Amino acid sequence: MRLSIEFSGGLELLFGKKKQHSVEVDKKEIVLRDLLQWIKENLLKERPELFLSQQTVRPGILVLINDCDWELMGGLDYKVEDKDELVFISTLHGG
Amino acid sequence: MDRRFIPDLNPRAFGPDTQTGGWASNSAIEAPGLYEPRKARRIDMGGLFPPRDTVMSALPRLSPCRPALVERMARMESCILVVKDREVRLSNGCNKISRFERPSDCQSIPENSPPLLQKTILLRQEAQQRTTSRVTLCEPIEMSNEAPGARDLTAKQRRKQRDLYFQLQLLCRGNSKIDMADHQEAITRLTEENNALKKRVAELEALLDLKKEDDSSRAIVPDSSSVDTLNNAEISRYGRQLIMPEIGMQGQKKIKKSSVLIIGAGGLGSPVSLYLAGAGIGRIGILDFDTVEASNLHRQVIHKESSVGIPKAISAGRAIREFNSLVKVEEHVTAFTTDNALGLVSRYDIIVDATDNVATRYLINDACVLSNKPLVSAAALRMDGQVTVYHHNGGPCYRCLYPSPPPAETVTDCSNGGVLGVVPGIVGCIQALEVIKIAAGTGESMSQKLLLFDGMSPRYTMVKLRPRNKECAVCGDSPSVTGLIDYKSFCGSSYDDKPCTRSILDASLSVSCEDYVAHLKGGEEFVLLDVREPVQYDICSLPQSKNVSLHDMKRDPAIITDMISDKDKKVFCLCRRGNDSQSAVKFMKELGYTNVFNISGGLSSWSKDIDPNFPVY
Repeated sequence: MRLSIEFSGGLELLFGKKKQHSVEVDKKEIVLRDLLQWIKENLLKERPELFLSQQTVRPGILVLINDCDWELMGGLDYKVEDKDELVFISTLHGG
Repeated sequence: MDRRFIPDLNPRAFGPDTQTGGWASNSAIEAPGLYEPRKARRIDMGGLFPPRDTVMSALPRLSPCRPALVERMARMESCILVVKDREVRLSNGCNKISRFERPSDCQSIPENSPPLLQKTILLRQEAQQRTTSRVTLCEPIEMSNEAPGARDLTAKQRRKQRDLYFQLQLLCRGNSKIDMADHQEAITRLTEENNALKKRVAELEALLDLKKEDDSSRAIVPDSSSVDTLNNAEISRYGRQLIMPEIGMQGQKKIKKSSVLIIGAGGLGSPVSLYLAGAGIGRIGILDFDTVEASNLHRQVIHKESSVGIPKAISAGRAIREFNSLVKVEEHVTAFTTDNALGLVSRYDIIVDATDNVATRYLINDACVLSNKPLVSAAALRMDGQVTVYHHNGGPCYRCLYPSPPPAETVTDCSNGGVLGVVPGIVGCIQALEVIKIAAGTGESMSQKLLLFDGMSPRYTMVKLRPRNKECAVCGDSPSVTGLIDYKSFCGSSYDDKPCTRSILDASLSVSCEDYVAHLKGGEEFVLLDVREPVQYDICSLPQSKNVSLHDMKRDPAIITDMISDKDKKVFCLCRRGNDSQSAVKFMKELGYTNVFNISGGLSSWSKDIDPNFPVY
């Protein structure tokens, strides 16, 4: 399935400073929990502890699925669909 | 006179410096041509006269009215130089008249030119050049001891002389259009203006007295300045938003009745406070513990250069008052802490989070939930911004979204990550809009929505957020947080984004900047490794340093091992403040390097202790 994955709010620094990634995941079905591991293995370039902690995203990262908070979509158990747009955003604190 | 706004008028800039025997000057302006009698036994005419160009450019502007003022100063000074018809003499009545030894220099001075004072020429020059901050003046003039000099003046005379000088300077600075030749006219005009103003002040004071009497009787009959109605000044000021059906009279009255606490008078607080004052929010509280720094000004546009060094809350309060005298401003020069949070929040209707750190964000959130106040929150970093409204209309609070704080090492602040000034400006404006909508009770609020602004792409994305989390620790159905907690330990960070120095290395692995300089002189071979990011290295760097960022080094250790093949070679690691360099030393030790040291305090210490001319960013 084809997915659009985006990292922002500084998270892109862990992914080769690239914000938008258009990827082909060679699976028919995948839940978000497993997709996180797939991202870690295939996209993440450095310091995995700044992205994942205890099988989920680390505190301070908001996950959006098709412009919706992932909590509204089932969180880690969400079944990822073809052409989904996923955004991982690190919260900002500056002001 | 408020000297703070006229820094050039520092008396130190003009008085004789008793220690050096010369004339003191400050950094803003070199001491103008007041001159100091030196011990020279004869008058050195070569150095006595100001450059010919200076004289020639000033001459045509002289008018007969000026010598009077100048003579007055001359009497006070007793050592002012007068040039007339190729002759140089002292204006204090001293009979010593010397011929100018280089008459060719003055040949083109008209025979009937009026008396001319060097000081006035310089003042003239300064008035012409007042757009530039620094004025270059001619060399100090040497005088014979035979003439009574400024050194002989009594303290009273010196004071008088200085005061006269101030007056002259003010005349030159107050209005660049004033020609020095029109001094007399200017003085007359200013005196008239001053009298008119005094009269006006007296009238207003009388009115104020009347109003006070009126106020005391108003308890019974409400007048037009009551909070429930708009007076004529308000109707005309807010007319353009009053005629919008979305606001209208009812909306504007609600805006007037509302009070807002803005926590943080920085990059976000600047636009928020200005737009809220502009919209007519009745009472605005502005809180900040910090003082204005030059590095704030690019984004914190409510502060001015003249505010550097004064508390941000005071500076912002002053700006708001100047901008809209119809709104009430309350400055809070304090940190927002567990001790004052609930008391402060309870006094306002809407709270604005315009802070810069995680600990304060959790504290503000909890205080708002516990006091049941809507929280309009925003954040900005680099080119990104985020805005949302918490604890409003059934929406989530900050903790619903982020139950646990991020690990401290994942948090980047403006001081380290940088921020483009306009980005907090943009999100701050959106924040102000949200406050106004909540205050006026109009439109759809950003509750349960999050606006993501990406200035690079550029993109505004609105995303839908979860509703209030029933399990939330503070706003849930059975909250575990029922009072404020220790947010510093909860977040593992402090209530500010001030740079802090960590210490992760054994003290024996760190050297001070002085130690490094001593080593430099010792002649032993070494490598100076600057581990900042290349973008920072580009700003400034030390000679002989090599740049490999900590980030790159960790990503690809081969960069280091290729560069420094000898593991016993002496290496000094350097960074901006001495934190990353410690990590670099630690990392290189792990790679097997035996002789690696950290330069404590980094380049900021270098600038402080070794080279004050080294830039700090």
